[in-house]
Amino acid sequence: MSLTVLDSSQRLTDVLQNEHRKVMYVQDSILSTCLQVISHDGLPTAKNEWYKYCPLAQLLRIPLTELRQEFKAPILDATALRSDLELHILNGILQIPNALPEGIAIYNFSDPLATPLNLNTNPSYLEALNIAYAHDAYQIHILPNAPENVRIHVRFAQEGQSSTWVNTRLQLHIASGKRIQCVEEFCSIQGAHAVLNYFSDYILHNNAELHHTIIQESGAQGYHIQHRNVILNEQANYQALTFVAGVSLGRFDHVLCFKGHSASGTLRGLSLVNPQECIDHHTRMQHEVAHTQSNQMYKSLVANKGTAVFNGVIHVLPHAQKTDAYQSSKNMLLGEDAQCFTKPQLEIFANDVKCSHGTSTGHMDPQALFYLQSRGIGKKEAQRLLQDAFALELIRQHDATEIADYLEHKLNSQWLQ
Amino acid sequence: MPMTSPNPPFLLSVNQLHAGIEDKPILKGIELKIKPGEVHAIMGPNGSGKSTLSSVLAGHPQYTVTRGEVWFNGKSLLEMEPEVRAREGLFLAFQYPVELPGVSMTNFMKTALQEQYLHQEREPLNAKSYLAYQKQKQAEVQLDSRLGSRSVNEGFSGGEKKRNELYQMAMLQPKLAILDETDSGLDIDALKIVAQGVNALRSPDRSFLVITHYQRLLEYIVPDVVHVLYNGVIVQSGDAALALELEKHGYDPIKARFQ
Repeated sequence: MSLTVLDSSQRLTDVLQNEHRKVMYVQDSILSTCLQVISHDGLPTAKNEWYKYCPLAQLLRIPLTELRQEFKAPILDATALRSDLELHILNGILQIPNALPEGIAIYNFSDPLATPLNLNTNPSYLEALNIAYAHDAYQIHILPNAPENVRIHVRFAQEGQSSTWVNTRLQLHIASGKRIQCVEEFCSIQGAHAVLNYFSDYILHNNAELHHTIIQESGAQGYHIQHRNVILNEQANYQALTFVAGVSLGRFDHVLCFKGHSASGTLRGLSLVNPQECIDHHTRMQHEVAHTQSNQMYKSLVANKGTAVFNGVIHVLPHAQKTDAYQSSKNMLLGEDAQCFTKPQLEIFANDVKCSHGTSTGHMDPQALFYLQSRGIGKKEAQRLLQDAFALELIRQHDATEIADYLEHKLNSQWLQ
Repeated sequence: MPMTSPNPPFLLSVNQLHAGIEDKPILKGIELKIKPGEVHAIMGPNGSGKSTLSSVLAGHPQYTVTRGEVWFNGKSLLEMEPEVRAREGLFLAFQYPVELPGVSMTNFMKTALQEQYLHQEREPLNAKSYLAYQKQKQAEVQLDSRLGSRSVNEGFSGGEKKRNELYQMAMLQPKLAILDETDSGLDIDALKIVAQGVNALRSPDRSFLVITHYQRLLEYIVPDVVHVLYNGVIVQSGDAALALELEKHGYDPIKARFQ
């Protein structure tokens, strides 16, 4: 087994080395670091603590011969969500259907006006892959003269088979004092199984605010690796809801770095895990300065033979006094063979902080079920009501009613049948 | 053809009912017959099987019936799923009503009524007539309309929870309402309000089975028949005076006689 993995990993590297579609948007030194990482490391396996429950190795069993095939860009239907700026990232390539509002600029990373990509530490294998073999990478700048409360809707879709890797990167810079609503929606394309390896960065300048919704639509059959890195400067505020309604394998890393005092961030996550699926959330709250606040609430509904993972790190540096951090993970198992792995990880190096966590995992409460049945509500309907209530708690906390309604509709029409 | 009860005048007929939890027998041959419109009270010391009887009648999956039969409105009750028993007109007011965070009262009751109407082949209520019905029933049991728009029982006080049970009873219009220690945890004022609510729902075609440890509740809900349950069997039955006698002497004489 392990031999196969090593072997496939080598093949993946070989195929990538021969790729000609490299987008050289980074300095040579970074690119060579990335190529080094790729040739030395392999895809993380279950032996790697951070990927223990995330079977990425299954990606390697897939022959990679079709990597260089061109797939036609999918056509997206009209969306019910209203926005001021709709962007499409199809097979890793950006399309802008409408004119940009004033005060918003979009660049390729290779554009001289773009902020160069900097890496503070050596990239992971997946990030190295993303950088060295990016289809393309983009930056969105919300400038000081942008209108108030701009709503951005980024829609992603990949057409292609499981042997196709789509590496793409997005960076969102928000000027001081600007408030933005951003929805990233990953649509499902019938029959598409591409591997999306997506990295994104969100840079919130002082007093900036980002209300972020990530929607992984139901029925997506692909493999999704998504890594989000958020930088919060003074008094910046970040709110995110990640709604995952089914994907064969989804790995979602969400890192918040609190770099300015009074910055605050909230992560909410709702996973609806279908049979045979694995949805793995890894979060990291990096409190670097004093007086910052973080909050996390993750919930998952796990169908029989599904796997949900939550690993949440709260890391408080020695100077980050008065940090206030909370984390909770609640999981409802819907079958005997549903699995859930949850691990809070508190690393606290300051002595005057408030950090706590809570987790619960269990089957549906039989008393609650009986109570509903005793009023004449059939067992299936009672189960649906209880699942719905469990899931809706997080959706109802969303501050944009329109998005909450959109998600509630998705929940009821696609999942809770 | 549904099987019919050998005793049509009775709404509920419990014959030689034996039931327990896992391997532990709790009910050891219950005999109980209730006619339409009658109010029966079941009293007994702790651990005699009072709550087990109400749970078994409502169909709680935790309990296993080992022997006996129960006829409800001419149909065999024990063969029905809990939700079917409810749709057929059996209602259990819980001793400890369950909190359902995220399930709104309106959604809960609307779903319950819809299923009941469907079962009874009645025309379902439209949104407007449902809201009018809900408003009327909330007024009848004096349920604060604020509670009606919250999640089921979430953050309700003890008294509010019991009143919410009454409200659900008023909404569902059962043929038989079982009140499982509805008086537990209530102060005297809350008790009076709950009793008034029950009395307002009394009618010639609605029966009640009031399960209580104390006689106090029976001062306000006057029963037609009082039974004493001890060690899984009904050991004595009588009229309302029996409750007073129990109040006076306690359960010790009963325990001594039937040990």
